[in-house]
Amino acid sequence: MAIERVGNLQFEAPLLSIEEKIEILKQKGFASQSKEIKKLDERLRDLEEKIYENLSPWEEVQLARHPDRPTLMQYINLIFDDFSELHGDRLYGDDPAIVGGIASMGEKRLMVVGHEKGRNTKDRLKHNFGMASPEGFRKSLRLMKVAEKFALPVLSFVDTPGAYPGVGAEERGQPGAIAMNLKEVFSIRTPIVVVIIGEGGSGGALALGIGDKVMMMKHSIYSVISPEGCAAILWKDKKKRLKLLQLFV
Amino acid sequence: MMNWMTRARRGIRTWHKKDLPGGLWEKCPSCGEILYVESLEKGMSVCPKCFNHFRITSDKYLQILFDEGTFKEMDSAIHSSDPLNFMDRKKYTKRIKSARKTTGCNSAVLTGTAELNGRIIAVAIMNFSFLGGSMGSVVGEKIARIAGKAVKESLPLVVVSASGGARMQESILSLMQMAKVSAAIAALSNAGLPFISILTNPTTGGVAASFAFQGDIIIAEPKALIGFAGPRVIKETVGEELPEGFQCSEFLLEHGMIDMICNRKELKNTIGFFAESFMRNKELRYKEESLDNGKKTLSIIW
Repeated sequence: MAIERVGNLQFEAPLLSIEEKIEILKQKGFASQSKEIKKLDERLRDLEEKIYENLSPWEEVQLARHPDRPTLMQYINLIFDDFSELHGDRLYGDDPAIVGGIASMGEKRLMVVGHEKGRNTKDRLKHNFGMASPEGFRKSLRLMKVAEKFALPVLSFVDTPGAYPGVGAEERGQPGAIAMNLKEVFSIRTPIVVVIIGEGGSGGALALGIGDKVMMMKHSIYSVISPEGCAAILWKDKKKRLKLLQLFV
Repeated sequence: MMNWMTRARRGIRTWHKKDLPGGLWEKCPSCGEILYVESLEKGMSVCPKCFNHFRITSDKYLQILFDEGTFKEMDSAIHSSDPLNFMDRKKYTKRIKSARKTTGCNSAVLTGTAELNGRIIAVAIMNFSFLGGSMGSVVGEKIARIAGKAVKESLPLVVVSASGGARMQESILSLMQMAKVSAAIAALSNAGLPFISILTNPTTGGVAASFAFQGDIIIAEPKALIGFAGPRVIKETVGEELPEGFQCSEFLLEHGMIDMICNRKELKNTIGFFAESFMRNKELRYKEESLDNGKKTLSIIW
């Protein structure tokens, strides 16, 4: 699957200029094994290591939210042979911010749940940027219970800025929905493996984040609240996020 | 001046172009396309133009969903009596008699076991053409029995619903079928066996409010009418205009009531995928357990 670049970060600019140079050389007819391209490749790898090993806290946050970062559906397409999506909380609605269903991997079958942020602007709006509403959390719990009943292991992917802070979400019991997930997940007898693939923001992340094994992808983040949210509470100004992050350098 | 706008002679009849010789052609009620019956049936009775799913009989569903020649029918002979001596515009006994004659079935549901991609499945398929697929004592009893068989033989259960609801003519006896069937489904669920419920056009009333919505997985055919009170009843009771697409499968999916909408052509493989996914690990566990001197550990499955 070709991954199309949609956005770049400032600290990635030097990498991009080398990538561009390689592309130009290739267009001029240089073979990918030629001396010139090999040299540039080497420089690219060195620079990559240097940049990504020395990121500031804010750059780490930016990388965790990188628009080119693979989202849940891409992981599903790349890992599993087959995936059958299941919808709805059977109570109120179907929340596109959380995707779940049964996947097959060779002979194995398992339940997959996770936040989906969406790939492009239209897609992101549809999935509400991975910010789940109560019906999303209730759907994920429902699916985990189905998994338990039929002895399916659960694979949970976390990638959310946080639970959706909206009027409707509050009316339908956002804190209660998260609380029920946290409590009920401890009674699920099948194994649960959690992977934080990008942003693990607050209660909305933890609602899908309890498992027998919890892992984080490189350059992903997990915290009680987003830097903006924290700055808005402690400094009463969300633009003070940088000041907050400097505390950790 | 002669009025040339009015017809001079009476008795000239307009030829209705869409009047068709019976049996060979059928008009799609959704898009008006004229379809050749033979090719329509080959295409699982789905309109090739607008994908409208025509209503089909239980025998057709058997053909579409299960491996050929694997169906073993149960309780085929039981049929309704008339315990209340009920009569509306017609006697209930007469209604049953004519339904049995026209459909060639003894009741509004067909039950038994069949294989789906080699896996044995307990199955019940409702037939809307038998008194609107309504659930009376016989339908309730047959579905409860097939669920019981599934528990006894550790089989997954698949029910294809097509029903207006409970059968008026058996009154409270029909209402109690909702409870009886639910008890059987609860026993199936407690045995850890999957129930896959397929909702077709229409699934309403007491059938929707009992087993049809008790599935571990609920799959609907596209654009099927699904709900509790039918649109006509709601309109007459509350006197409100109903929004477009109200109570259709897509409406229910959006409102989180069903797991998925599946085209008839993909229905067999979808049911097969879920039945396999839900049964496989459980069966592995039982195998391991017998090897392990009856030790009960959940971890051995994986």
